[in-house]
Amino acid sequence: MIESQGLSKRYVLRYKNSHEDLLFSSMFRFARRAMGRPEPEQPGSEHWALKDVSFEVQPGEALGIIGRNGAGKSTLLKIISRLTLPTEGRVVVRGRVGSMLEVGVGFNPDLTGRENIYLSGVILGMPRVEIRRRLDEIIEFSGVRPFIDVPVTRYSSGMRIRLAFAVMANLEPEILLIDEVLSVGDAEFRRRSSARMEELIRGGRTVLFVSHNREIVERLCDRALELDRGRLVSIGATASVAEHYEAATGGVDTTNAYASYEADTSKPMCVREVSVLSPLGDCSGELDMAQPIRIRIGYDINEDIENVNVFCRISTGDGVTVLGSSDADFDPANLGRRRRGSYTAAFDIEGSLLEAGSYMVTVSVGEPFVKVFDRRADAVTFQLVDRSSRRRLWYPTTRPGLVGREYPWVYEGRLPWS
Amino acid sequence: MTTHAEQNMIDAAVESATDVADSAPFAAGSSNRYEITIDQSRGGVLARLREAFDLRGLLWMLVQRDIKTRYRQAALGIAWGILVPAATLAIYWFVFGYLLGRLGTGDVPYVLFLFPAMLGWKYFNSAIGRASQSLKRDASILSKIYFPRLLLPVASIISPTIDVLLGGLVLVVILIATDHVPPWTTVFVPGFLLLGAVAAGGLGMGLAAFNAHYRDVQHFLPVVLHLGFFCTPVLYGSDRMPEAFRLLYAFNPMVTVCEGMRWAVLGHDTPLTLAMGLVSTAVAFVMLFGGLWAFMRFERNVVDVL
Repeated sequence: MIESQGLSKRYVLRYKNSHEDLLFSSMFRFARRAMGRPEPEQPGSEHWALKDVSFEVQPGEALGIIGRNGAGKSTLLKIISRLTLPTEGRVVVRGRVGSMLEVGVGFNPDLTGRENIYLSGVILGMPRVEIRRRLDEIIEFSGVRPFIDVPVTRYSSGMRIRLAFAVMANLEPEILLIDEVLSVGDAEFRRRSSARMEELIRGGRTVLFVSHNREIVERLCDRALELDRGRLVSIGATASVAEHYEAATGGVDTTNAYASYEADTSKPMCVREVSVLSPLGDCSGELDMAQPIRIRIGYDINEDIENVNVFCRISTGDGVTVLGSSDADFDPANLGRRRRGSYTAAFDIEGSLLEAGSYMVTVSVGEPFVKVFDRRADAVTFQLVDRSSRRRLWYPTTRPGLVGREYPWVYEGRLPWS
Repeated sequence: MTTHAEQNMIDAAVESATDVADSAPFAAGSSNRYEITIDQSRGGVLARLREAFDLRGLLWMLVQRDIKTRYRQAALGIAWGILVPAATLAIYWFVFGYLLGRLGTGDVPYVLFLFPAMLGWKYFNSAIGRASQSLKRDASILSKIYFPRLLLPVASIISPTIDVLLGGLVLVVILIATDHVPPWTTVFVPGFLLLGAVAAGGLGMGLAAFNAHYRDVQHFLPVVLHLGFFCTPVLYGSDRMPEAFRLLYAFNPMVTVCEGMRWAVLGHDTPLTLAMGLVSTAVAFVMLFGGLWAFMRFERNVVDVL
């Protein structure tokens, strides 16, 4: 059972140049306080990630949490999983909590797969004896049995994720906190893992489930609550909350920043992989709008071929195309003869070109104006969020428009401020 | 290559220790045990210590991880645990025992004089180094899952004991080579090590919390440890310190730890007095409680900072 009363969390955004974090200034403040002097005003602005959120989850009930990026969903999960303290209010949690905020918590690359099952399992709160009992099941589910005694460094990233998920899927706590991170791996594994998630959620546990995806929430949760800018805006039967959310946001809000496809040798060229990455290589699909975005495309050429290109289109959630780009744009010579093989190419879109919001990427390969060999419409979806613009300090919602740049205004003559 | 058998032995030993410590806290089924209220208060210190104690199964896993990963991926593996102290000893012996002349006392060979104290200091040194980095090193776990954060620095002061054990093998070789039979007082070695662990634990916890907020620790800690090394009777005996200052000298708990380990292994006369031992012990416990207090204060909001 979970019972939340007036839960609030405040973050203070400090301007970059304040000396808040330096040792000496903090000693200075401590000394001032010790002498009974008030603390000097710190420059910065407050941000309530959660404000006055109250709700209850009965035992055995699954509650979905929906809301846009930055609505406070993750903050709520963080507080309930005790990662951070609320600023006001409280939550009472009755039962053993298991949180699935990320796959692979506690994995150590130098340890073998088997050792990592124990380590990660115990960190996630599974008793060791139980891990031993379920070891076979976990290894079976992960599908990496032949490599189970090999250090995880030598695993492919797909194998690592499968093993990590297999550990997590065998947690059986009374209360389950799930963030929607769990659609990982190849298509087959994704199907199995989401089936396992459903099993866990439906298995009579108390569940808090955070998702962008309305359909999944509707399928799995009895009730839902919607957050918007830290406030609870609606709570009740999933269908009505989801409807309210849909009406408020006006469309899809899913992120799926990685897609891969089976090789199709019947076509001369085919798209194998599309992903959207942050400069750090993060492909969570939630990117800082101020940072460059990398679109990476993997494709196969199955026979030597001429006059072809790879074309990528980025459009907004409501279908407006924002830009199109081809791998022959900068050098038309690229249209020449291409050899068969597997290739990966990427291009970067500079930071702040696009406004915060959700975008989709369509990729096609073929002969320009003549023939499309393979086309993946809306292959991936990503979210640009505003984490660093200046205006967000006073203008908390998304600006209308497609271009995300900030422009300085210059006054001619007298200034209106004294 | 040569080290698999040894590695497996250690793994097995650690694992069986884990089994015993494990099961109990989880087995109790009633969910009332797990009722928690999360609010802005940090919760009582005792309740939090108890929570950490309940999860000692996790503590052992962390210790096991530390030990296993330390020597993996190295061609010589766990042999390093023996080579490093042996090489360090050789260097110190060459510089201080040979080049600069004997700093030891009496008829004890310098190597034998040096080594027990060196083991004590090495343990302290690496325990503090690891503990102070413990929160930062596992920041990725801390930001994803809750467990009593105290377990991380505590695991860091337990895991270097493996180095002491390996160093013990070198000691055995030295004892045989110098034809010295360890006296009954050797049984006190773990006691002195424990005192070192208390001091290292206190400092390590304090520094870990501090290090999460201020990166200054990683810069000044090596300097302080270097100074500490020379303020501790490792290369020389405490009898070099004027008698009037010995009590003051003992405010460094490592004085008692190192001098004590030397006495325990050699069984000779020692400049260490009971008064010095009590001062050191008192200081070590003050460090422990101070470190614990600092750690508890910083612990709960550490995720917002890391």
